[in-house]
Amino acid sequence: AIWAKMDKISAELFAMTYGAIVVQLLKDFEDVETVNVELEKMGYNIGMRLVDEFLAKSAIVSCHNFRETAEVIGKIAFKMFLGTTAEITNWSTDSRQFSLLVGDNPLIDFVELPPAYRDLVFCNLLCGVIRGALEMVQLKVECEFVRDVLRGDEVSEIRVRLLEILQEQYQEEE
Amino acid sequence: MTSVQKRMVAESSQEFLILEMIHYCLRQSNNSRTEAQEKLEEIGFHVGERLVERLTRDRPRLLEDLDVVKFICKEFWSEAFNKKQADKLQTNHKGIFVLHDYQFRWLTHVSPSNSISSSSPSSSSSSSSSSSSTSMAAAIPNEEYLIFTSYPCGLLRGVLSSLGIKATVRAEIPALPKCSFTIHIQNRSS
Repeated sequence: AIWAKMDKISAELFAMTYGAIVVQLLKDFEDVETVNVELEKMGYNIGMRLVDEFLAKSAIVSCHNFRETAEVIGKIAFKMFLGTTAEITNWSTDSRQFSLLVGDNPLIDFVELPPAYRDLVFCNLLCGVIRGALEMVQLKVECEFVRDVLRGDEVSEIRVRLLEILQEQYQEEE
Repeated sequence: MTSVQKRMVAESSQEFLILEMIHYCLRQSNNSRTEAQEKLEEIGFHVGERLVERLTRDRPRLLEDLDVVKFICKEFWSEAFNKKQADKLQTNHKGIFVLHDYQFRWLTHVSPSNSISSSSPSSSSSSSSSSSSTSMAAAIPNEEYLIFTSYPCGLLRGVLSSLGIKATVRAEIPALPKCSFTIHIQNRSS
């Protein structure tokens, strides 16, 4: 329902812009590992800004537990921003780790990785976005692609691990 | 590709991405605006070239400069800058075209508060009380905002290039979110 209310654009320019950013990073850093780190960092910055819009438009007040948070990310946030959903699966027994299966990803519509870049985590930006957005709601997590269709896996899987729940810092007001 | 319906994403996703790209280019160039703008323009150029190949695949070749520019004002504008065409086109018929957009989509969310000012000097010396009707934005020098138009300028130059026209493209922002792009055609290849 939220998706219907979002202003939408054709995904082509979006995907091509993202591709061009990755190409620019490869030019600027040459080293693929550094590019992976930088993409995650850029995503983190985006996540911190994006969470406001997400909370405002989705009207989600709070999640009771991490399992609920995961569903919100996969079903609502992915839909809202990328027009697709991610399946939540592979929960760890302590409910602190889960995987997002990203089946349909507009970022990679025009992408084929040449063998020279087989270590590039093309969509690492997404990991950063998740980390940045969750940090703004007091959840410190780490995210990584453990499977990637661009590197030959049959599905892309982002593993999310909860590290700690940050204490809200209330500021004294006079 | 056989997809019947075009795939869509949220417009805000694109805004976030482009804003972060601008931040990145500023970081990379140690906050040199000129350098960052050149980089953004260059990125835009490559994207424009690629994008237009997809847009023009099934249409006959555009022969006249004016046809190319009209294509940009209509099809390209609504594809890239969201569902509307350029508002006005001016030309001197000697290779200069000015495209006006009175509500340039990519500037509608730019405001003095979120303008990229990590390194901006205290440029607010121009008094904001000079104009009462216009918003605060008008008090900020236009150059502040040109960082937001480098990418679209590059896109336009890429589109032109891929349609056989070598040109320079420069933007002006008379007042947010108005924007005009001046295309200066240099020569036409084949």
